[in-house]
Amino acid sequence: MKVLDRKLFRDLTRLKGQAFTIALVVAVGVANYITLRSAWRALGDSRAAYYEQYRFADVFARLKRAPDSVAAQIHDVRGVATVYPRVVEEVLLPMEDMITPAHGQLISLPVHGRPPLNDVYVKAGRFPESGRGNEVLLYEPFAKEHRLRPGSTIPAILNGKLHELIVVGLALSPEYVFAIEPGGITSDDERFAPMWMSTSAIEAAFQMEGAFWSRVWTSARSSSRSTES
Amino acid sequence: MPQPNPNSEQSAILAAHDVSKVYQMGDVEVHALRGVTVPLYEGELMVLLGPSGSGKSTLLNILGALDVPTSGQVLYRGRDISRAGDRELTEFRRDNVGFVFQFYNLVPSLTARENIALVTEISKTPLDPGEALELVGLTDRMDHFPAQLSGGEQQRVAIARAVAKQPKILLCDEPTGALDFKTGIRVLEVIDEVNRSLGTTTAVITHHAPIASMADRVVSLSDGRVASDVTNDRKVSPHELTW
Repeated sequence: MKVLDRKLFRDLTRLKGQAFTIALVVAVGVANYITLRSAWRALGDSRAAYYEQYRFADVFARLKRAPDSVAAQIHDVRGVATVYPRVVEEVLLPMEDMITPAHGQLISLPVHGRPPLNDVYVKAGRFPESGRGNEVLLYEPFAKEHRLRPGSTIPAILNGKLHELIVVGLALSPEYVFAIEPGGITSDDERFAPMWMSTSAIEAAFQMEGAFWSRVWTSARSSSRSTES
Repeated sequence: MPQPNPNSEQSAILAAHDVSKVYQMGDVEVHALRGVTVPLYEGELMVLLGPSGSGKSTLLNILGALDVPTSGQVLYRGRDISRAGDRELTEFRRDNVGFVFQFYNLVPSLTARENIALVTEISKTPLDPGEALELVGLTDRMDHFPAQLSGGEQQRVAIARAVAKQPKILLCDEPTGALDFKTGIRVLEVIDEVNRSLGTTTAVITHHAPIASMADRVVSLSDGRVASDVTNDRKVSPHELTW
């Protein structure tokens, strides 16, 4: 053993209390770093997997009103892999336990099968059945705030008329990880509720047959990043 | 200003030529050395005398390449080292110069032998640590830690450490400054023994004038200048010294 190594060994032995404490602090720091780094990576991977699994769109475009034929034209744009036209409509929710109405956002679901983009994760209950016009999937955080479960009803003003919507399931979506109502600046799960309803029911309620209001499509190159225009 | 002997200069191993050192203290300039010329001849034992503040330690530090002069030259075997880079100066010190200071600077967690081994591990042609300790009469204390040694013994270990790498030059800055008379004499005997037996060129700084009697040559400094540079015709053994 070299003399300097011997000196180091003896000094560390003499200062073993301090050395142990310093080593402990360093070890805790390193462990914390590894833990946080692992958590950060795991969260990133989970997010990517979530977006991938539920086919989160890369590009969003909102139109006031357009015929269904526009969807085919958009699909022909170079780089567009999938186009998913849908109807999105703002509604008021005059909840009994609130003085002022909450805001809802009705999003259409295809007549058959799951949405090709921006799929919905149903945590409890089921998807609305086509032909049953008043069934909705409700955003789970809003349901928790108001103690709603599958089978509960929720009042909603659709096109100026009060409807009793039946909650058939509680859902989450990559589109609403952090749900903020249009024009809002923070998330308020008590006052804002995305809801998913069959396309036919929304079109009937808003007299929108043969047209779509909100379009979503994705490019062929990526399916995990999104922008809205 | 005293000039070096032109004949003796042929054998000067190390020499300061017209060296000045100025320290800048804010707006004030402090002149520690003012055009000092001092040769150090091969194999001699030189004593550098002078009161506190006369520039002795500054000159020794410059000769030992621990510091650089503001102006002038430092010649080692004719080569100017006053403008050498850090790496070159480090190699010069490592290969050629041994230092002994007033305070011993031993590593407390290493034994006497290990303190010397610190140097011998990085030297080109070192003595064995045991041999170096034998030279200073501490063979029986080689496994003792500094705290187990007296001041004089620690200084002897420091001398053994300085000579263990077999330097050409040994520079001692007040080696007896922290010691009592009897212990100081013992340390001076060791320095004298190293100078005689190994032929190491030695310079000893002191403010004790009687110590000059053991030198081959005595250089006196005063106010940053060489006041005198004389050869000692009646050199005495350290044990004959008193102060």
